[in-house]
Amino acid sequence: MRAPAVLSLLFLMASAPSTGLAEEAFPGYPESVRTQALRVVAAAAPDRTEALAVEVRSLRKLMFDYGILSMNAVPDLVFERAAKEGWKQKASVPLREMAKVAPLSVPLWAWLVREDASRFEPDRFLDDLSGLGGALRMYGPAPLGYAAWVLLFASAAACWFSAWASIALLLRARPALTADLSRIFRSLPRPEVPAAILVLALFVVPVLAGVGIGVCAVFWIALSAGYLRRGELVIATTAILLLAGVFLCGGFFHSVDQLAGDTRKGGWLGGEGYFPQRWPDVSTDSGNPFSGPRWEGMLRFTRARAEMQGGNPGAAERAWSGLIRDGIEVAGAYNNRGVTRARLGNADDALSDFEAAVERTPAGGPAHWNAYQLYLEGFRLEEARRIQATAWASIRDLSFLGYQGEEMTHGELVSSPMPVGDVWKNLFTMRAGWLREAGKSPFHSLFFRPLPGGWVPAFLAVGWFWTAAWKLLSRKIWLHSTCRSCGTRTMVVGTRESSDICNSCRAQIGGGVRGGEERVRRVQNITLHRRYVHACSVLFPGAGALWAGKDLQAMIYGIFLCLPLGALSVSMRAGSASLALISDMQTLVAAGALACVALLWAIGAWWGWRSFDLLQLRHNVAGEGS
Amino acid sequence: MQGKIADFGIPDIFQLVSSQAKSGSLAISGKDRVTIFIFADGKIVDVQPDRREPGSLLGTMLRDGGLLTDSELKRFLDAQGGAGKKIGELLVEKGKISPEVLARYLTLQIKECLFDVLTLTEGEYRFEGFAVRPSSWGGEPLRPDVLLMEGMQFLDEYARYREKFPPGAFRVSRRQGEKVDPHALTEVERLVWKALEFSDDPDRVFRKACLTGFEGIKGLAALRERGLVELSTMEGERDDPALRLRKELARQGRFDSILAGLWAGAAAAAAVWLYGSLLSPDAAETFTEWVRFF
Repeated sequence: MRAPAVLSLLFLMASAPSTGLAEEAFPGYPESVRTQALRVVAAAAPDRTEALAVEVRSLRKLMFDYGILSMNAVPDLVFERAAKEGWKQKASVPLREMAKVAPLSVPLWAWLVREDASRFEPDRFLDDLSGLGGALRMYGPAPLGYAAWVLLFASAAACWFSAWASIALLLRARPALTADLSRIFRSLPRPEVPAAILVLALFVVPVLAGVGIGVCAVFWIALSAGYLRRGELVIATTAILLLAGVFLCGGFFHSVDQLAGDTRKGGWLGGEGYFPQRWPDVSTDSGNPFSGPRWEGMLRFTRARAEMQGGNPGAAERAWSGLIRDGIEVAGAYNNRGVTRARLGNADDALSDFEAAVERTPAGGPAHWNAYQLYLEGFRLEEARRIQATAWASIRDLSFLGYQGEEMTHGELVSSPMPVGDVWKNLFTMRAGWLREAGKSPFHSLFFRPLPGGWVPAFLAVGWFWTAAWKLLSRKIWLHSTCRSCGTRTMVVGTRESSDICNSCRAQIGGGVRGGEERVRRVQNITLHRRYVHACSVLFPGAGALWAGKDLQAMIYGIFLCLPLGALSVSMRAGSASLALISDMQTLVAAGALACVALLWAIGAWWGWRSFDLLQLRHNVAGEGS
Repeated sequence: MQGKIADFGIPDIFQLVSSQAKSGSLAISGKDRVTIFIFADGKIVDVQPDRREPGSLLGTMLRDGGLLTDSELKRFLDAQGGAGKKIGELLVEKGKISPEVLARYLTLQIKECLFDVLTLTEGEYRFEGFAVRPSSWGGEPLRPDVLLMEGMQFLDEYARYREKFPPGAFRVSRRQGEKVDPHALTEVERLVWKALEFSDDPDRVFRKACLTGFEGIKGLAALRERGLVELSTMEGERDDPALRLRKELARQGRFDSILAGLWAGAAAAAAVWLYGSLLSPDAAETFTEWVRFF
């Protein structure tokens, strides 16, 4: 009895549809649109341009019928096919054709721009650049995506800079710090040994404990501050300020992340490129930072657009009427209701809506073209002539959508997309929430662990005040100072700048005037110091320049080094995350960033090494011990 | 002329050669060492100490006196082999030391060697006569009778002065906070006092002051009686300052190498940590979030 039951169970499990198989390529669109979109994807090939053009024209016609402006999933799928079938390098021709059905796909335009640049085709480059600009203006997630990229890039670069600066400054302060700590152990026979081990532990224990970069950087800067010059303190302060910026960016990014959700997989904000399937309940959730009338208006607009694109004109008309009644995006709502009514065969009401939209947008817009089309259909030539110039100018402004007035001779009507400007407006009204949200962001756990979120601003402030206090204190108490040129340590009080070159080096006496033990010791000290600075220069490029007294130049170099490192952090894994267009471009960005890092690293190591050698040469200790 | 020291004492041999104004070499062997004095017209113009006694070699004396470093000494000794010249001549030629300094140290070397052979009670001597022309870079020839008088004083008094100091190795330094009137000190005391700046090892102090061990210990004893210096004993340490310095520098070098290795390990740990924070797949989940917006 048991065996048949197990067999039945196995049969049932095998017959259950898997989630992968059930995944629909163009969910939400009408059946005819879905079918035609799949035909376009299937027809895409580097050598079948005519067949592809035919399929694209058919899809565009259907898109006009349903008021669909862009189907961004089409180029995504074509590119994935190209990557899988190995003709990615020849994909520019079919992908250029895809721009007609996915004119709001920012990655597509960006990919085409890159292709034009690499093939040096200036005419196409300018056209594609115009397309990219248009998509950025009209596709909601595009500004968000670029803002997120820039913020993540800036944050990663800032973290790299903080790590570089704090380690370089700690290594700069290390000899003097060790000498001062050895004063604690002066009762022991060799106090420098426990002091050196303690300094090493102060560096390595937080690293091994997996403490975040932000916390480590502030800790190391606070340790070093008393031994630094003014220029180096500027580097330290910059690092702490950048970390504060990173923390705030985390809050901003966390807020933004909640906004768009997974755009490509049905997020509501991507409604103009991907059919939205999930809707946030912005009006009722008081804890949601996107609650409020503006977000509610955008959401209702997108819902109405989804009804239009989904082939539900009745529901769409009701939704547009509701928006007009509530005074939300009235011009766009009038235009879209007009398109819907025209599809329902109600030309007079449609024309009234277009005229209402025209009154609200006298400078031009889709409604001008739509009204012009209906005037022509109704032989109202006088009214048509009156708005003809504006109508044609409006359609020319939308040329990146693939609209050519000369070809639109079958009464094609143009819908109004969701206003992108509102996305920006909404983003910048959330400032108050950034700090609150920062404690919950991934940046916090990545860079500021193990501190609780609420403590980070206080920690950064305390770190900075401690740095300032430690520096001021060093002007009043005796601390060690290391000669930048020969490495001799002396006790000093007051400003570092006047004592960071020892008297022997200022007098340019080389290994020393007196011979014997004193000279041998000095020469050995110079040798060891030179090895130390050279090692620092190679491992932490630019650190050698700090020893040479080039503080601000080293900071500028550090910034230049950390920019490609930041780009590498943001792009390296994005390139391998999927086969999508955006990943392909990120692979290029990551490769370029890696090359820049390698080049800058080599330059920085050489520069630091050379600067220090010149310093030693200037103080007549260059040849000692070599 | 040759014979045994037990039959014909060292002072007698020197007086004989001096009184007859002989030129040539007098080799005196004893205690497994051979020291050769060079005479010109009855006066001592040079000495060749036994190489097994490095403390008496001119280069070592100059190094202990702080006029040469170890590496310089090695370099000049290598150059000496190629040039076939004596090291003193080479040092003056290269301008490393002045002829006056060389002359002072050559005199010191002769005195030290003479005082040393005066302590021999058994051994042999051998004099070979030949014409000797004093070198242009050497100092004034020394009269053996004058040196012998100092030597006799050394034999009589050295033990008395030495017993004022701890047996074996010891260290000496200026007493902290003591003010000294240079005019109140004798010439030897002044030289020793000044050389105390250089080292706390008495032998190196005497070398620096260009004094024999006997002169130095007398000066040091006088300074001690004035309460200007303080002593410390060196239990268990062989009293070779150059060796001690070399050991200390080697130890410092080793410590520095170990520390460099540890820091290299720390740098590797930091690299892994930076990778984990900014480049690893875990960090990438945060950094590639922006892709979702497109």
